[in-house]
Amino acid sequence: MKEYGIFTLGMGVLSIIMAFVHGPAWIIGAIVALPMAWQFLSKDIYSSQCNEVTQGRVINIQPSGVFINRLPLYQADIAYLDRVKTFESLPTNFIHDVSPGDIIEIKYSAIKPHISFINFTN
Amino acid sequence: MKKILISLLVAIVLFTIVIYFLLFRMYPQSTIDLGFIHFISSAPEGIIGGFLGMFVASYFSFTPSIMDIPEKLNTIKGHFKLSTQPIKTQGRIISKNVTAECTELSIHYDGNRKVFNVSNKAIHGSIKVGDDITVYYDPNNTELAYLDFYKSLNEDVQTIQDSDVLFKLIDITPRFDMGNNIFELLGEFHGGQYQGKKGSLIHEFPREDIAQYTPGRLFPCVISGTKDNYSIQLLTSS
Repeated sequence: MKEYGIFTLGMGVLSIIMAFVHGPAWIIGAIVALPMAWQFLSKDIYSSQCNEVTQGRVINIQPSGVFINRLPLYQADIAYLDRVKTFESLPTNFIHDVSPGDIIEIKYSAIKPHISFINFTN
Repeated sequence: MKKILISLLVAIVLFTIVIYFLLFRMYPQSTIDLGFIHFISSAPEGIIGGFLGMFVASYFSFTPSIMDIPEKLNTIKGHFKLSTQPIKTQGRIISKNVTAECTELSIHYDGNRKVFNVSNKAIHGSIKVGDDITVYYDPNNTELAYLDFYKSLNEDVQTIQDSDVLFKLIDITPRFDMGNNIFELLGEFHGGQYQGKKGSLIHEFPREDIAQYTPGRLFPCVISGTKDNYSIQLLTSS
């Protein structure tokens, strides 16, 4: 994922430079590439900040409409701490391992509790 | 209906941009010679199809993202950042007000009182006034705080109720600075999961009972509470 992130980030930066050098239409490339780069890279950036573990309850799981290698990705609403968050881009096996109502481990940042991810190591 | 209107609006904006670029912008002769722009100009009915295509594309791809924006902004509004690592404490629910979407909990923790608006979906099990709950708060700004229902739940499961314990008194110190009949008892626990551990208790009893509290004497006691927050009750004859 990190490699894809760096590649799309490079494309985004190139688009911005080209928007100045060649023409403003290049900015469309930046608009598409930069959010995609953030999607790929954010997990690595955030996971380094998440140092606390708590438990969360799965409320519901649904397909996100995105496929990787013809396998659908899922998104799940999970309640943890005092909030409910939608965790996106969950792998296909998530739907087999976890069902609504299950309690799972969540890693989160103690300073910014909205930053969290599912602890798949357990 | 709202989705259709937003899709129409997006389609109109996109369509206007495309028409501008295809028909009204001055193109070099080499581009015009390709014939595509000429084809569009001479077949205006194709424009209707193009507009419908944009509407459908907008309805299924752009509009859902646009409609998510208010909810995402609302979520971002609820985000906060603590200045340093939070302090963990136990808070007590003072009052509770349930609405259709969320529950308003007034919680007292470490000398502060704050009202938390918590989504009903986030609350696990039943909570009632008087319940203890784990609170994390910023030591530099006690208003910045969040709850952990799930840690509290976990701690509830680990409730301690140990009545098979003896407290062996090692030393007794009067603590009249705290009250007239208050003494500090230093001792050692025997039995249960606290075997061999030392502890000190603040205990209140009439001064005439002091003869009962001689070092070396064993007192049955009950330890109850949770792993992090428990109380010890000495079972004395007085």
